Amino acid sequence: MKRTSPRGHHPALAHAARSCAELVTIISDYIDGELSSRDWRALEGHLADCVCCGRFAADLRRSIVLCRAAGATTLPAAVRRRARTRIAELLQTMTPEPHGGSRTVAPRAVRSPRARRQR
Amino acid sequence: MRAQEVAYRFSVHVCGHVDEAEDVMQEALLKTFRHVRRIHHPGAFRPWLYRTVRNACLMRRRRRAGEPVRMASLEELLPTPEGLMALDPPDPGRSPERELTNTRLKARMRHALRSLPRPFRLVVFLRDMEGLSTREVAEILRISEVNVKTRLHRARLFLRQRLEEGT
Repeated sequence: MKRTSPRGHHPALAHAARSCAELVTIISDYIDGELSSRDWRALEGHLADCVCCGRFAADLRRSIVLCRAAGATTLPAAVRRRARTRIAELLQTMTPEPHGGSRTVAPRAVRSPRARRQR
Repeated sequence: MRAQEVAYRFSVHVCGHVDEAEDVMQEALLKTFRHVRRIHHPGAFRPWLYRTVRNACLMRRRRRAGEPVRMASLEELLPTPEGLMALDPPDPGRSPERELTNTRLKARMRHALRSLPRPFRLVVFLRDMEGLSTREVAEILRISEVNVKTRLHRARLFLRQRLEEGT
């Protein structure tokens, strides 16, 4: 549920005189497009007028882009191959359960990939 | 969505133990293969997979030396006028200087992510890296949407501050 003031704005935007520190609390909602259009316009206006808040919002947006880029991790082909082999091995040791799942009969007989690497 | 890739990314970024990522990924995938037939609703698979990898991570939980247990307060994370910086976003342009800057920034971001307490790292991973909605993240972590937003905001402020400290 959205928090709103009696005048319909988000509490952080209820009065023009609110401090920048309070406005910072809703900058994530602004970036994610989760503010009402009225609050969005009000905050947009403030960001255009206040150099510090405008710059802060731009920095936060850039760090989110950077975070997304840092998260792009490629699964190494060797890891993919080892996972397929090990799962195939383990699935062979399983018997189907009556409700559609399966049960591992002898999981301890198969070494973990790390144990194998250490051999 | 490829289950293997999701499981690997999660293991690397959230569990934080690169050497264990392969084991965690395999445990999660095995569980997925064993139980996938019980999932009848197509939309239920994605949250289920993320929860499974998270549980596999927790099973191996071993706090790294230096892993934070406490999140900085909101006040500590607020910017100071003199501390505002201009981060260079990753740029598809291919000039060597630009690439080097982007590579360094990404490395710094990965380091900053590792210094986030795990509950916050989880939310950033699911929301900002994987692009899940607030509602999906709330469902996976079994917390309220308000809680997701609060954690995400603090985590973003923390990451921004860490990058700022490195400039």
